[in-house]
Amino acid sequence: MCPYALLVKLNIPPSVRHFSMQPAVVVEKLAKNYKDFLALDNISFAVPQGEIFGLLGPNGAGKSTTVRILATLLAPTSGSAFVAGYNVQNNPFAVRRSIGYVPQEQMCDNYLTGRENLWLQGNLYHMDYTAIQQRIRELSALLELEDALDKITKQYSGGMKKKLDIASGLIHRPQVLFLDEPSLGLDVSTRLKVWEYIRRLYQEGITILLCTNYMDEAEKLAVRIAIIDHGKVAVIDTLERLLAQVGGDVVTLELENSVGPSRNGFEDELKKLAFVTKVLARENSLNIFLQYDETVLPQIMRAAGNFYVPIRKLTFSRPRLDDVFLKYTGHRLQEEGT
Amino acid sequence: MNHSLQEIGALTRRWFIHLSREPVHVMFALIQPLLWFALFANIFSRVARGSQFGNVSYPTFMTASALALTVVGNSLMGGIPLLMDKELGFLNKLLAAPISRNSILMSRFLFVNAVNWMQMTIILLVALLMKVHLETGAAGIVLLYLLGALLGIGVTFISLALAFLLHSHAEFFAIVGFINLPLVFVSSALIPVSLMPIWLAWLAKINPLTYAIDGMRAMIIPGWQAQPIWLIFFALVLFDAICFLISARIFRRNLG
Repeated sequence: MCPYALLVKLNIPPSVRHFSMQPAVVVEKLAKNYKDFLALDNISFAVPQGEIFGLLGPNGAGKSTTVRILATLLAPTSGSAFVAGYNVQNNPFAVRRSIGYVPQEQMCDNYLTGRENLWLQGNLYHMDYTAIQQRIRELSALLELEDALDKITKQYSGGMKKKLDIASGLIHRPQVLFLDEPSLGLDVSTRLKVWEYIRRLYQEGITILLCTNYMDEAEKLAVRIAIIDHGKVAVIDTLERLLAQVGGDVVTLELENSVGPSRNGFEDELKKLAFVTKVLARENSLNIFLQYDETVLPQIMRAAGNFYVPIRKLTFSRPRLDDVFLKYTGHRLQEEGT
Repeated sequence: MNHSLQEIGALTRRWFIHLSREPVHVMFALIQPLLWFALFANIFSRVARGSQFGNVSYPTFMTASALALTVVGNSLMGGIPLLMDKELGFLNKLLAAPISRNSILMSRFLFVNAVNWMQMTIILLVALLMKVHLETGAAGIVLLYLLGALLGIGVTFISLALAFLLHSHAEFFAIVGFINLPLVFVSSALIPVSLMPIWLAWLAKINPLTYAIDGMRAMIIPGWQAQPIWLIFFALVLFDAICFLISARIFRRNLG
């Protein structure tokens, strides 16, 4: 048993057991070029053992490229990466033994039953007969797969297939699990289920690197988050601190199209208000980051009245990861590609 | 070593499960060689006779061709499942596992060869029903299977290499369809090389299929010796070695 598993077994709380442990994943100045396209631009981060680390960013930001390098499927152009202490380029076999890889595409063999898929996977990790059997029992209980285990996977629903993919990534008890867009294409209730399973895995002490372009997925699951955009890491921190950094609460004003020059005066006036920390102007809207108290909304409305700025809609929201994303990348995640 | 066996065993088992889950596939795998044989054995049966054809019935003459062509046809398709795995991304899952890359290829060779031998057996059984007499007995039959394996290995190498070079199975089928026909006509499958025009005879002499068929014929027809047996085995081993050398580079580049 590795020392880490021992700490889990002894019920040592995560905050203590992660202290002084070598990180499960270390990425140092990793870059990847495809001809003239720079997919990864010197990204660096580290994932402590036993943590769910979220890589959050739009499609094409470089998340899958990162994971494919970490899973030894792709060679980086420059930089280095370590998984479970092994260099992905110098020691790929040791890395492969330590990881479970669940790519975003559906990965089970459609002609095989669930059980046959898991058997194949177990044999590829050189497990013996009883170990595979026991692990299939555990995983099918954990992921609620028992009833479907002996059906051919061609007949599985999308959610079932994803569960089987996750199970087959876990069959050999990897130290690190790479989950690339685990809830892509799943319906809402299946998605919630999958999240619940991921939290269960976290409680078992496995390190998870989660790639996602869903804000809520990162918010619900990740302990720490790296926001990545255009192949660069924009910011890395714990969820709480990221949320604290956006300057508390946000008021969003939707303006009429025909606001005109009075808008500039309005923006300047807003910036003068003591409680406002930042004003982000967009074509038809203003995002006002502020410290909330009861006087805030009336003051904003008064300023709007003074400058004759017609407001179509006002939204007040507590900070969300989306706002963090906006602050660090200058655009919202959902806008990408729409 | 134990690890390799476990990997190869599990991967090969996967191909057999695929075969068993597609009854239509199994049916064609069984019927196709019969169809070849029935057509080949009869098409020229009224014109092709005499000493050039070994003084035997045309079905006897064609048994070797049916065996070899079945091996070639089946082995040429040997790369398709890997191409599918590549297209679907399943190959990535295999490559992310701590297995030897050779195990993936080896499982294909074992499976393709097993199916080849199964089909050869069917053809031989039907040949017996058609009163084809196997002159050389048990030892000859063993050599027939060995020749089938030597031919199949080289062709499977080509097919697996194509699976990594090409991007889609549509491309694959187009190229394989293009290779197949000239390969058959520029060989001793339909008529002996000695009856071909000079230029065709020359081409046939560099076609590995000619050697496999002549070798098999020597096992079936008494006194048939278009080429010395040692030359036949030498040519087929050389063919396998060349295919290995060319495709090994392609495998290394694509399997890392």
